[in-house]
Amino acid sequence: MDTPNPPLSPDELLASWVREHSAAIRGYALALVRRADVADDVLQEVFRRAWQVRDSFRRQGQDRAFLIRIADHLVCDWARRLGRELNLDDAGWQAQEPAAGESDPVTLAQGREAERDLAVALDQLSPGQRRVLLMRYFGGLEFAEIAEQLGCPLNTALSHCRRGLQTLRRLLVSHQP
Amino acid sequence: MNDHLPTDQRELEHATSRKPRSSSSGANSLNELAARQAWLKLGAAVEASGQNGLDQQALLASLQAELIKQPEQTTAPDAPQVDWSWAAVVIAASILIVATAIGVISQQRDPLPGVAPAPQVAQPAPQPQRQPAPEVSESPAIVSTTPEANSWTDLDDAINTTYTALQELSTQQSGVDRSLTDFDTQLKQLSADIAGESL
Repeated sequence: MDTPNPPLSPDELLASWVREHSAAIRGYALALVRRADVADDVLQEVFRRAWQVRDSFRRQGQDRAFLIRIADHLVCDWARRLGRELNLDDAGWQAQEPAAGESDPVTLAQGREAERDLAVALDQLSPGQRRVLLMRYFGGLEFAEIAEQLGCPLNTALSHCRRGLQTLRRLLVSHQP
Repeated sequence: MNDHLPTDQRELEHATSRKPRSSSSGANSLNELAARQAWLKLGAAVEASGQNGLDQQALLASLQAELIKQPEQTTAPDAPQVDWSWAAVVIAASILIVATAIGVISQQRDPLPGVAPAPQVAQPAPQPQRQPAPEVSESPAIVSTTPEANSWTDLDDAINTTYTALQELSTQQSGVDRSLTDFDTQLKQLSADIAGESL
C-alpha cells in the first residue's frame, strides 16, 4: 500500500495524497466527530500540516499512517476545544448529505444502507474502540503505536480492540439471516 | 508472524491484519474470522462515508493554490546557500595572523625601554666635560656677574628635574639601572663642576 515511490513533483504528490487518502481521512474524522463540516476542515488541515513536513515523513514510507495520526490529533484538539470527549451520540450521523450528483437509485440505496449499518456499528462502539479499530484499519499501525497515539498503556489499546471486535462480531451475526 | 508478541496482541494482530489470512482452524478462528469481517466492513463503510460528499477536485485545487503556488515563490530563493562556517574560520584565521604580525612589528619597534634612550639622554652630559675643569675654576670674573649666576641656577634646576624624573623611571624599570647609574654619576660630576664654576 505504502511502497516507496519515485520522486514526484509537488503537484503530483499532492494529487496522489488527495486521490489515495482523502476519503479515508475524511471518513476517519467523520466517524469520530460526526460532522461533515468539521471533517472537511480536519481533512484540509491534515494535508496542510503534512505538506510542511512532507520530506521527513515521506522517507518513512507510511503516508496513510502518518496522515491518520495527524487527523487523530486534530480531532482530539477539536473535541478538547469544545470541552467534550469523543463519545458523541448526536443524531448527525444519519443526517449526512448525499454525494453531489449521485442520482443512481441503486447506488443511493446501497449508500444509505451502508450508512445505516455504519451508524449502528459506530453507536455500539465506544470512542476508544472506534479510534483503535479505525487507526488499525486505515493506518495499519501496530498496537504499540496506537497506544502511543492514544496515550494509554498497550494493554488498554488491546482491550479496546478486543471488545470492539466482539461488539462488531455480535453486530454482524445479528444482522445476518 | 509476530511470535514474540503476547498472546492477546498476536491474536488481535491476526484478526485485524489487512492481508488475506492463510489458514484458520477451530471455533476461535471462526469467531476471529467473524470479527475480522465485521472490522473490514466497518472500515470500508467508514471510507465510503468519507468519500460521500467529498469533492476531491475542489479540495485538490484549494490545496494546490494554498500550498504549492505561494510557497514555491517563497522557497525559490534558497538555492544559493553559503557555508558561513568556513567563512568564519577564514576570517578568524586572518585576524589571528594580522594580530600576530602587529605584535611582532611592535616588539621590534619598541626596544627595551631605558636601554636605547640612555645614550641619548646621556649625550648632553659629556658636553660640559669638554671644557676643562681648571679653566672654569680659573675664571672668577664670570662668577661675579649676577645674570650669569641666574642662568646657572636655572640650569641646575633643570638638571635636578631631569635627575628626579630619571630616578622615578629607574624605580619603575629595572632594565635601565645600569645606564641610569652611569648617567647619575655623570650628572653628579656635572653638578659638582657647575657648583665649582659658580663659586
